Amino acid sequence: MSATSEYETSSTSTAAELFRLATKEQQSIVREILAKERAVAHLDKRTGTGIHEDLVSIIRKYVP
Amino acid sequence: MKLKKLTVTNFRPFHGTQEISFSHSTRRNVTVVHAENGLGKTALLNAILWCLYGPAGLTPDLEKPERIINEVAEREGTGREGSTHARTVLCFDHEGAEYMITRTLSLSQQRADPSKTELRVETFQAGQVQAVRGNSSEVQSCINAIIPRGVSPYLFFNGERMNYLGSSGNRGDIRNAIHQMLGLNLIQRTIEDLEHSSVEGRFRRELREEADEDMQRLLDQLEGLRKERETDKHSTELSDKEVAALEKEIKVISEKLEANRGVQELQKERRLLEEEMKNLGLSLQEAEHTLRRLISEEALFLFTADLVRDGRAITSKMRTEGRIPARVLKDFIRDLINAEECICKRSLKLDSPEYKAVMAQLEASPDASFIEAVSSLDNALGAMDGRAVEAKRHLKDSHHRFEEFHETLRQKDARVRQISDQIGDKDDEEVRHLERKREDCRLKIRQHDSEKGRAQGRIELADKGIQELIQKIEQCRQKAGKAELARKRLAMTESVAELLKKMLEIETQRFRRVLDEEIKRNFSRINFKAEWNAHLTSDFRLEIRKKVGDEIIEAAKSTGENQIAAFAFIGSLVSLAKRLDEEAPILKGVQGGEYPLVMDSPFGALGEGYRESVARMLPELAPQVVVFVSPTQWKGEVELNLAPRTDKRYLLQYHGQKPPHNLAEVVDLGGPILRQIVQGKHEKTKIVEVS
Repeated sequence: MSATSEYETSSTSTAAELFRLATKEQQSIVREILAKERAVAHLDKRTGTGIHEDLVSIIRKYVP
Repeated sequence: MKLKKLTVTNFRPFHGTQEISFSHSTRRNVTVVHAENGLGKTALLNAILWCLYGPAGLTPDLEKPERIINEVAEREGTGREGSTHARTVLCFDHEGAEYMITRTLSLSQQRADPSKTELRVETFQAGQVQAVRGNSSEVQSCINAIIPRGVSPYLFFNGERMNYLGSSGNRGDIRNAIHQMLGLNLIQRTIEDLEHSSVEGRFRRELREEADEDMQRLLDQLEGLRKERETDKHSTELSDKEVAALEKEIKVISEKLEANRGVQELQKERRLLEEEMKNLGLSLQEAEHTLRRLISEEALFLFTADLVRDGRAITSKMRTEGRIPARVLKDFIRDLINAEECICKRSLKLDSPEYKAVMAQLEASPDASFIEAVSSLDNALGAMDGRAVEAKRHLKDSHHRFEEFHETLRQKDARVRQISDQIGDKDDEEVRHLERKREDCRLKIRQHDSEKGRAQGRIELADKGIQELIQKIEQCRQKAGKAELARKRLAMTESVAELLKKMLEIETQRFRRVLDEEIKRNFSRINFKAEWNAHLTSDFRLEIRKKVGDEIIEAAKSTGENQIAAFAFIGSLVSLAKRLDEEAPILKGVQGGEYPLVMDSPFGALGEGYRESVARMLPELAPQVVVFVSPTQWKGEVELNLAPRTDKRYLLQYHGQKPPHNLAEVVDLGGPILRQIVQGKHEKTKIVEVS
């Protein structure tokens, strides 16, 4: 992605700055997947949580 | 999270039900449990962990972790395994609510599978029960949401073993502790999930499946086929031109022959015959086409005669048997039987002769759907019969017409040949020359027609092949589109994982820098060596450095120094977790908050010098501190510094016949003298509150 090289070469010092340099799609994906991960964060086992399917759906949504 | 009370029932050395209330005061935030080695300090620590996380939470140093139920209770309970059990109940406050977690293991379950425990969580708010959750993974999830199992090793630990955090080669543990306590493990797990075979791997598989290496080959084939078709098409066009020129030449020759008096009549007859043959040829083609159509559409009816005959035999048999047309229908007879009366008003009581007679009719009578099916069969047989007769007539007529045209054509062709021979045999040289030339042209036209036919056949095949290739190429294009999409999705997944890795690294380093400052402060409060200080390096090593002249070098650490470095680190971590929101991490909503510290033997590995400073620092490490300490280690500087901050104290008392070696009968804990050994029939540990 174009923004990847942008933040790779940038001398960012905080995660927030790095996040701002990402593309809009990447930002939206990060927000959505972290929200999904938060929802299952307290579970010891990932099996059966559907988290992987959720992540695939999120990526597909933003790369239609 | 602030601990309120722990109740243990038949858990390890604790027989019966006993409890500990934890200090809840802000200033006097320490709870001390005094116990000599072997009397149950580690068991008490494990009672909390078992309650929270079950067998999976027990410390690795616990011997025989499958034996949870107290041995005396187990002996007493033999024969009533269902009602004998071990139980721990942990009460604590968390975010304005009071929680009560109860974990139970029956003797029968311990014998079958001690990992299957019964778990219950009750929540109280303003004295009212808010939620009672049953035994399921949901209950464990509720606990994990409050205090994740990953953070437990840094909150509930054996102090003597904590020095490993301060020793070299533990960068992974330090980093893990930061991730767990500060909620960064959420990003770590997200990265792992994104890179999982079900996410990134799935897009990789899609890319591999969709990529089509045959696309170029298909395009080459299409190009080749189109070129061949073009050549054939060009060849037929040339043939058409040649044929047109030859026909024109024949026409000129024919006109010359027709102008010659010697063959004028023959040539005229031939011309007319050839014109007729041309029309006959068209009629013959039409007749052949009609015949083909009739064979494909109607000929099948010629072979249905047997089917019709069999069908008719079946319906005829039914008529003979009187089943069709039906005199009486089943439905009508059933109505009579149900009404128990015949239309003649006779009674149709069960098993009466009249009843039996009517029932016999029921057996023989058809129902409405059967009659309908037979009727449909009759119609179908009739229709098939009609079509067969018609098809036979059509085919006969068409075939006759075809044969007629064919025969006429054959006769006319024979006459044309005859005329050609006659003209060719004439004495007139010019006539013979013209006739040979005409015949030559005719043969050339035939060759061209033949070549054109072959080329047209190839063109038809090429057209078919081109259509198939176009379809395949379109499928390939669609697949290529999918492959491109999979490639984009894979690239996006990789870039997001990469972004998260960089964010995680930046956040981890940011927290490390904050922790480093905090560790230095905490360490300087414990450490009495002025030139020494602790430092968390950028590669997550917990170092102790000393100043030698103007130079700062890494100091050689003792076990005790490793332990105080670990305390300084954990205290800093707990403190940072408490003010996580103030640090404004990029990830809002990560877990953090107030945690208690529960330490078994924090002074065990410390020399005299460090005990005092650790005792002074411990109450400051967390909002609530629980310390398990032996009476020997308590005495002196530890007591002097911890006692003013201690609100609750307990002693673990040995009951039994064989106390541990060198265990004193009584113990002086700075108040009344307490018995440490009580003679009894069964070996057990009792929790005694020290007033």
